[in-house]
Amino acid sequence: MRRTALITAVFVICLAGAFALSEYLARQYYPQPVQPVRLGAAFSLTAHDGSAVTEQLLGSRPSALFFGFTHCPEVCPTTLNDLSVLREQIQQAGGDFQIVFVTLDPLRDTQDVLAQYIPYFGSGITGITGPEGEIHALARAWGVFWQKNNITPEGYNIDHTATVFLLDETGSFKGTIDFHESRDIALMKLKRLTKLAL
Amino acid sequence: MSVAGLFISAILLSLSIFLWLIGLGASAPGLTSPAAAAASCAAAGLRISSAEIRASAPGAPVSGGYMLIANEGSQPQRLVSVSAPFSGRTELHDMKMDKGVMKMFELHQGVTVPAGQQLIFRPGGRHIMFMELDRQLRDGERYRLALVFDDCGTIEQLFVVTRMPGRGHNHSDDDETNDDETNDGTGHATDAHAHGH
Repeated sequence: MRRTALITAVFVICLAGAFALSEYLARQYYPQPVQPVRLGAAFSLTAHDGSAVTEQLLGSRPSALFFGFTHCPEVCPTTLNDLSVLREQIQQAGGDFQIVFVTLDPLRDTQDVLAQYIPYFGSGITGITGPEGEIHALARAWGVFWQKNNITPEGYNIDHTATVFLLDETGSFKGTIDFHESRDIALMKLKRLTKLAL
Repeated sequence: MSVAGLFISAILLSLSIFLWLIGLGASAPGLTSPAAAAASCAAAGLRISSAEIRASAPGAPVSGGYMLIANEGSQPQRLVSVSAPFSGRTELHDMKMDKGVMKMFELHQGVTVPAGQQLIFRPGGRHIMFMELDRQLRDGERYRLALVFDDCGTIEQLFVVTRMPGRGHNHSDDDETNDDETNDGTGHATDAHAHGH
């Protein structure tokens, strides 16, 4: 009788120990609550059409925000072309978003240069330039990397973050589109951003 | 026209083609005229196809060129420079994506196409970099570019300007995401020509 009680006690203790251990391990890998990402900052800069533009632009409707420069041989024109085509698809599905292009090269990309460059890629795109310090502060606030390279007497190239930031209609960061992502995935993300049925 | 007349014209035509071919052969060793050099690079087995240039936005002073070079010969061939009528400065570049940042660098030694292999120049990778554009490059325009190889000479190749390079019939999406930059086989190089002038 005592022996049965002892065996039962040992069994219960082992069971409790195993449960505690598995609970401990499970909690280690349990998803942590996500902290809302704070990206971006207030700004006061110039749009390609010469108008003043502030962070309120990003709080007016869903946006695809991208940093680049007009001497950019490939990533920037490709991204602007792709976003423009995607916007047409979203519009056909009954939604809309704006495309915002911030130059990382404000010394060469003056408002006049952007006024020529931006409309080529379609409507619904706002190009932004301004004083170098303020542009760089905005880029840093979005965690954007940039670095001049290939510097020659004739000019330079800028390596930079090629990520497109997706913002909802309140200007809150909702996600990204990567340069190498397929257009189908980008379209799905934009449909979700503009609250269209997937 | 009589049957005899047709027969005589056919003979004259083939004779003139024959003489023309002999003329080409005779001028080839000189390597002086572009046509002769092109014939030489073609004879060395080089085939260019899918030659495209990215259309440029107004105010944008740069653009990129893309193509497929197939080397069907037995010797490696090295592309050392390219010249274009619209570009003040042209370089051979490659780029790599590193943690979301596109990094570009010049290929100072040129680009070697190993014997029996193909080399792809495409968006997101190896490309011809056109700088100091003297005009806007518009969709549908065609330009003849000189591709200079260190051994066989120069190929004059017709390039087509397009807004979406690398997305034509010769480059499926699979090709774009495929990281093998050189591959065997010759099935791809269907419209390769070494253009004379």
